[in-house]
Parts: sequence; structure tokens; C-alpha cells
Amino acid sequence: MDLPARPAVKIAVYALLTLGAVPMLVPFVWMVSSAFKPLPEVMRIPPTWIPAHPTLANFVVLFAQLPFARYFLNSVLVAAMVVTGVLVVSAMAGYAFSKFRFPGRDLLFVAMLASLMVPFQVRMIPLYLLSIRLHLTDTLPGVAFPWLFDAFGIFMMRQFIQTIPTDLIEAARIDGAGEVRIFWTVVLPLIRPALAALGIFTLVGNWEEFLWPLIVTSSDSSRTIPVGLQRFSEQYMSNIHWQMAGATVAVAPLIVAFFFFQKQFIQGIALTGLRQ
Amino acid sequence: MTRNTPPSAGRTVGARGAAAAVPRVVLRPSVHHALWAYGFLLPALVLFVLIVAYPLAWAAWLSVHDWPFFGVKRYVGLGNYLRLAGDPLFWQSLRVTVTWTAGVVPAILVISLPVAVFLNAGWIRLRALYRTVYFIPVITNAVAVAFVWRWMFDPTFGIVNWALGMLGLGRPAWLADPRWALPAVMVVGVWKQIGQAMVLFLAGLQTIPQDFVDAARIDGASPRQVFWKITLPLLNPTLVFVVVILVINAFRVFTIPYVMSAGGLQARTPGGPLDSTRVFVLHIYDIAFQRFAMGYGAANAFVLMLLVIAVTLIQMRLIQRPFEY
Amino acid sequence: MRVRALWILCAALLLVAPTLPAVAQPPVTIVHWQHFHEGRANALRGLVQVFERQNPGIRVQTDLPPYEQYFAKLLSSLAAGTGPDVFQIAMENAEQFINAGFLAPVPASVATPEFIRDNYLSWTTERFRRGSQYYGLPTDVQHLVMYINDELAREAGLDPAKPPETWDDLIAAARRATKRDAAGNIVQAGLDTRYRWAVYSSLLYQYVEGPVIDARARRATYDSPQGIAAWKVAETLLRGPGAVDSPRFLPGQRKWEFRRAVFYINHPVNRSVIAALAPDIKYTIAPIPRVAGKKLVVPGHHWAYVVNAKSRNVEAAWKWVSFLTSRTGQRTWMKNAGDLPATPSLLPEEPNAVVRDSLRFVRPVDYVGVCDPIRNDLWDAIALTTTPVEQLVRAAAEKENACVAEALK
Repeated sequence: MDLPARPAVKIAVYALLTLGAVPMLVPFVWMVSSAFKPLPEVMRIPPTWIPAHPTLANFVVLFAQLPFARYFLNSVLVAAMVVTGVLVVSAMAGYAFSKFRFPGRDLLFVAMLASLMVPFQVRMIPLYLLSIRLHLTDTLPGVAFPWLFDAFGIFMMRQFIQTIPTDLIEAARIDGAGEVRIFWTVVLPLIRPALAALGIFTLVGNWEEFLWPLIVTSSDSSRTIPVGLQRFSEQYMSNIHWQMAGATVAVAPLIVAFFFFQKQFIQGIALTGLRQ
Repeated sequence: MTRNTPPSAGRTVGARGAAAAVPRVVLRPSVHHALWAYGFLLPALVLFVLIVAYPLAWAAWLSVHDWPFFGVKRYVGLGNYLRLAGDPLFWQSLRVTVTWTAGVVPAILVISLPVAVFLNAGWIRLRALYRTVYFIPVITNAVAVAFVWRWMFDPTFGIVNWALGMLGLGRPAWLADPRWALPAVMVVGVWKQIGQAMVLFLAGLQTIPQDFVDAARIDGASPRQVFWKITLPLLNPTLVFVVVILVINAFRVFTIPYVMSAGGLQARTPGGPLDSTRVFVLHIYDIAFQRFAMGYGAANAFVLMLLVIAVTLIQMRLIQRPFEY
Repeated sequence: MRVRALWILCAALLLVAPTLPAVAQPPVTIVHWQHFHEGRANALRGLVQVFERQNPGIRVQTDLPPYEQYFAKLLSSLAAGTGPDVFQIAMENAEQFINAGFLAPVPASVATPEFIRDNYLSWTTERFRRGSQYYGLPTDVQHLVMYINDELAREAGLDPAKPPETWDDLIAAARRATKRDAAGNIVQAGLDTRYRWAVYSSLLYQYVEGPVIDARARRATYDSPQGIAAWKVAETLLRGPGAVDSPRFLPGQRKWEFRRAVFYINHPVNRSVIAALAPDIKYTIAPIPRVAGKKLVVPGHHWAYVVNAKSRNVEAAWKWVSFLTSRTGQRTWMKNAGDLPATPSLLPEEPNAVVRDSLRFVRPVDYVGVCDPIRNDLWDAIALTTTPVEQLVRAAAEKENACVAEALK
């Protein structure tokens, strides 16, 4: 499918794309610019896009008032647990479902896949009660554990591993390789792009997860960035300039990561799409 | 699919060590094979039971109990579901969620599909740049952007009303006005998800064989005819998939309405003013984690699940290929 | 390859993760919660430092959730058995928390009933008493005063030295001070009503002569004729072309501290917020307006520090509470936060005569449970809808009845 390359069409298309890009970007421009302004200037109408009185004070306050480094570390640790967990569990299960025959296979697969239809919010109340019983409330594993099972990840891995020729695996077996070794040296290297896509997709979803950490955390030792940031904004509702500095710091890491791993990001979203 | 299991005799203890030798001696190859399968499946199974099946059963059990968290559990049968039918807040949040879905989903489609078609044009320049611009909201933290938008929507000092004023348009009070709060929040919902739909459409467009299009063009079809008669029908599976994702996301939306309606000494669960942005998940959160009615909260959550299942089943009927996304 | 680098990073972080929370800790750590308030947060920080210096074996770890999340977080963590050792609850929560068995009684080693009777204003301990047993100790009290931005008042032709005395006076003055743009939208509020609670409490406890919340009958009485009269004043403040503020103007923000409002009803503790947010505003403190023909009545409110019945460090926890509520602690609260102490003997140290004198007219509020949201929503409904006030008040009173019954169950 291609659009005609007539000049009129080209001009219209570029104009529409550029016009649409303005509202996509304005919030970021405004956020970053306000992060460097004193409060009275943030409230000025018409707005100044380049700060008239640029200042770093908002960031200084942000890091002084808010254990932001700790929130950041918590977010990274939770994301690391979830991404690693999802990749390992999904790849192993996907391998079992695609390259093994065993009783109950189809039943189990359908049962796991059907769980895609169960929204997290249905399980949220019991999961909270469960984390009380397991003493996981207000801990990093407590923030991470509901996300370790990802039916979509298993489905995706199964689809990818199915494309690996079974002969390759058989050949390895004949050569005397053990099952673990086959999985590690034959299967995993071949599904690396899929793993990267699933990993990034999981990371993006987890990085902004808000509802569950809001429920399960109650101290800075386990608060992630979204929860810490929301709390900060409720505490200092009137300090809009500080909030913008906080938003800038929270938004920056994934945007930077995006520029480095652009292809994987786009693939991750294109391949997966279903967000928790 | 038949599988040639290697003769077990051929597999010496070798690298696996002595421990593996014990079961191997007595097991038939197929059993051995199945055991390995379950071994690979074990983490997923354990987690599936622990964080999906068991909580789901627990939620079902909770939903037929009255449990005020600080009081005694009491079996009430379908009492919670009957109570829900007479609860104005339930209907209000259902109405808000349906409005959100009916507004946000079509708006995203109407914006993201043309953008994807434009970016798919062979002659387009700066494709990566445009794609990035439309995609960035997807990967930004919802909490952070929600409070950027919250201030942008300030009736007096926000740049939204400043821009509207310059265009000579009305200046609603947005988040402070029960009539305008939901539209304002929905704008952010659309803005945040355009990029995701766009990327999915781009992927779908790229699977359409260029031969089809070329053949039609040679037969004298106009670009418009090509779009309506070839591209769109071939894009249908993607379209259905995108719609389903967006609808399910719409049913489960929480962060954006929560953050945008929080604060301001209201001393209440967000979702205001006057419950005008109380989406369904906020309703569940309020009941379960602010009012601590766990049983009633679980009953409400089951209604959400029924809605999601209904959407998913309709999708399966539409594309007739369950699980093949 | 970059992906491999990511893998290694993930693995490394996973290895480090379990070791992180286990930082070396002193023998006893007390977890202390109270809701966040800009002025009090600083005062608390100072008190923690002094206390830790005096008690090297005890560490106080504070967490200050925003008011909006405070009770939900507190209740759920208490139910989960992971609650803080020491926390703050408001007087209206006393019955609920004592009945639920969440609170440890004040040990005689910290304060005998006689000491409590002699040392604190009686209304700041009464609701925490069961027989001769007390379950919490007060620090400061929150009564209400009216702030006037001198400069903006003069600009509107008002004399800050002659503050409005009655509600009618206030409405007239606030109307003069309210500014609107060409489209009729407020751009400067006569009266900042962001703190709805302060305004409607000032009205209710002056208009309604009997109880506002009748705990014995478990019902709200503010749908009585006197109650309706109070809410009608709110209607005058908020509705129509003569409105002096609107939730549509700077929603959620501190209009007065932003120099966008002239009058403001708040606690004396707001002085510390002003000092932090807008130190250069010149202002006058006046008594809240009274009902014409009646004596001034000032709603009084207080919080109390309590100890979790399940705390593993009850002794250290009480030590910390007794420090907080001691004369030193109270003096710090008064000087750094701004509210008056619950200990009358410290009152002469308050320099502002209006703040001091208003305390003599206090009538303690009789709200029960976490029901403020119902009245706050009623306030918003008056401002944002055109439904008749009587109808809105009756619906709210009915909700409050259920809320009170739930709290006293």
C-alpha cells in the first residue's frame, strides 16, 4: 500500500503529520521548560517556552525532598526481577509447549492462555491478602511477584520456538547434549530477538505500573518511581515547578533508553501489544 | 507431529552426572521426555497456580462473602451482586468507563491509522523522526505526564485554555468541572496510546503484499479504491486486534484518571469532581482499599472480568482464529 | 551486543537486590507516621534529631503520606500487621481505633491519668479516654483564624486593621475583593475556600447550637433548619454572580499563598506554610467571622499521638511519644509549626493575641469517623451544580449517618 507521490498529496501529508506532532510534543516541551523555571514564571500566561530566569533549584529541591535515587533504584530492581522472571519462565514454558509432547499439554496451554482474559484487578484483592500472608507487603519482591507469570509471554515464546526446526534439537540430542544444555545453547540463542522484544515490552509496562505498588508499598524502601512521584505531587500540590522537575527526571530514563534501543522498542510493542 | 525420541541407551550418563542416571534407567523414553517437559514447565505452573488460579478462586469465594476487613466474614450468596445493581456509584463508574471507551478508542483509531498509512508511504522522509514523536508518549511514565497535563488544563493559567483563548474558543474549567473533567482526562488517554496503535498498524501494513497493490493499480484502481478495497480488508485482523487491545485497556484504565483528579485537599479517593472521572477500576480500588469492603470489591471486579471476557469472545468470533494474533 | 549487556546488568542487580534493605540498623527502630504537612514536616525533622541525640539506642524512621492517602494506608497496614509503631490520628477517629483494639493504652510510667488531667486542655484528651485509661496524647490544637492579605485588601479599598466581624461583613468585603475577567471567570478570589473543611466547620459550629454530629443517636444533624442556614451561607459564597470563590479557579491550588485570594480561613499552623511558600506576603490574622447577633464560636480540632497495640517496641515508642508531647516537644510545635500547644501553661508564649484569644472561644468539633469527604463533596456539589441546597444537604446527611454508624459499630 502506497500513497501517490503527487506534490499535493505530499504537502498535505507532511502538513498533517507536522500539525499532529505539535500536541504530541508540547507537554514534553512545557514540562522540561517549566522544570527550569521559578514558580511565578510557571504560572505566567502567555507562557515562556525558554525560561526567562533559568534555575536548577527545582532539581536541587527535588533530590533533597524526595529520596528519588531510592525510588529509581527500587524501580530498576523491580523491573529487573520482573523482566528476568518473565523471560526465564516464559522461555522455559514456551519450549515445553512447543517441542515436547506430554499428557495435559493442550489443556494446560489453554488454561494458561485463558488467564489473559482475567484482568489483574480481579486478582488484585486476593493478591494483596496473599502478600500479607507471605509477608511481602512493602517489600520489593512483593511489588514484583504478581507480574512474574505472563501468559502472553508464554504464548509468544511458544510461537517463536515452534519456528525452530525440530531436527536441530534432535541433532543436539543425538550428539549427547542434555536437555538443559539444548535449551541453553540451541533454543535460547535462536529466539534472542523475541526475548529482547518481550523484555522491552515487559519493562515498559512494569516501569509505569502504578496501581499495585500504590496498594502494596507503605515506605520509601519499596516505593517505585510512579508511586513516589504521585505522593510527592500530592504533598506539594502547589509547587508545580517541583512537580515538573520530578516529571522530567521520571520520564528521562526510558526516553534515553528508547533512543538506544529504538528498534527493539518498536518491535516489542508491535509483537506484543497487549499491555498489563 | 511424531517425534523420534533418541534411544535412551544412546544417551550415556556423560555430562549429566550420576544423579540423572537414577530415574533414567527405569523410565521409558516417552515418560522421560514428558518429565523433562514438566521440568521446563514447572516455574510457570507454580506461578500460574500461585498468582493466577488461586487468587482467582479466592476472589470468587470473596465475592459471595461480606467481609469488612476489620469485621467478621459472612456468607451472603449473591448479596454483593444484588447490592451492586442498586449502587449508584457502580452505575456511575460503569457509565464513566463506557464513555471513556466509546470516546477514546475511536479517537485513537481515527488518528493512528492515517498516521500509519502516511508513514508507510514509500516516499516519506524523516519516517523515524515522525514515528518517534508519535511513539514517545507510549513509553513515558503515566503518572509524570498526567500531572504535566493536569497543570496544562488549569482553567486560568494552563496553556490549553491559553491556546483556546487565542483561537477565540470557550475556556472550560476542565478538571474542576464535572462536565469537562472526563473529556480532559480522555484527551490524555488518547494522546498516550496513539503511538501504540500506530506501531501495530505499521506492522500490519507491512504484511500486505505489495504485489496485490501493484496488480490493482495496473488494473486501473485509484489510490482511494486500493485503500478501501484492498488495504483495509487485508488490515482487518490488525484492526480487530488493535480495537480489542484498546477496549480492554479502556476497561482497565486507572492511572491517568487517578492522578489527574487527585490532590487539592479533597480528602477523598480521586475520581472527582463529584465522581465524574470515577472509572471502573478506581471504583474497585475505592471499595477494596479505601473502604475495605473486600467481598463487595471482589464482586465488582468480577463484573469487570465479565466485560473483558465478552470483548475477547466477540473478537474471537470476528477473526475466527483464536489465539492467532 | 547491547542486549547481552542488559542481561548482565539484570543479573547483577538481581544478585544485589536481596542485600540492599538489610542496612545495619541500631538496636531499636521506631516507625512513625503522620500525614504530610509542610510546616509540621520540618518541625518533626528537628524533633527526631533531638530525640535521637538524647536516646542513642533508638532510631525514629518517619513516613509522611499525603492526607488523601493517609487513613487508607494506615488502616490497611494495621490490618496487615505491618503498621507503624507510633502514628497520629485525629480526634474523630478515636472511637473507631480504640474499639478496633489498634491502640496501646498510655502506661502510667509515661503519664498518669492525674498528670493528663492537669497538664492538657480537657477537650484534647477526652475522646481518647475509656474510664480512667487514656489511649493517646495530644500535642497541639487546631482552631481556626482568618488570614488577610494586607496588600490585596487595601487594593480593594478594605482596611486590614478592621477585619469583617460577621459573615455578612465578610461576604460584602470578599465581594469587593473578588476580581473577574471579561468572561466573568474569577481571577482573584475574595475568600480562598480551598480548605473547605475550615469554612464549613466555621459555619456549622456557629449556626448549629446542638451537636452537629450526634454520636449517641449516630446521626448528622446538619440538615436541621440551623444546619441548612449554615450551608445557605456556603451557597452565597459559591453560587451565582456574587460568588467570592469557585473550585473552578486554580483547582486544588493554594490561591491565598499564590496571592490570588484576599481572605482565608485556616489553622494557625498555616503560618509555617506561608513562611515556606510565600514568605513576603504581609498579612493580618483576625478572628473568624461570627453569626450576627451571636457570640463568636471557634471550631477546635486536635490530633493525638498513639502507639500501635501490636508494636514490638512499645516502651521505646512511648518514650518517643512522651518526648513529642512534653513541654519541649509542644514548644517546638508551637514555634516551628505554628499551632497552639495542648498544654495551657505554654499559651503565654504565643506572640499573636488573636491566635491566643480565639482559643477561649473553642467548641471542639464532634465529627466521627473518616467522613470529611462527604461534607467536602457536598461543598463541591453546592459550588458546581444548581441542585437546591436543601436537597444536597439532606442527601449528604444521610450518607454521613451511614458513615458515623460504620465508625461506631
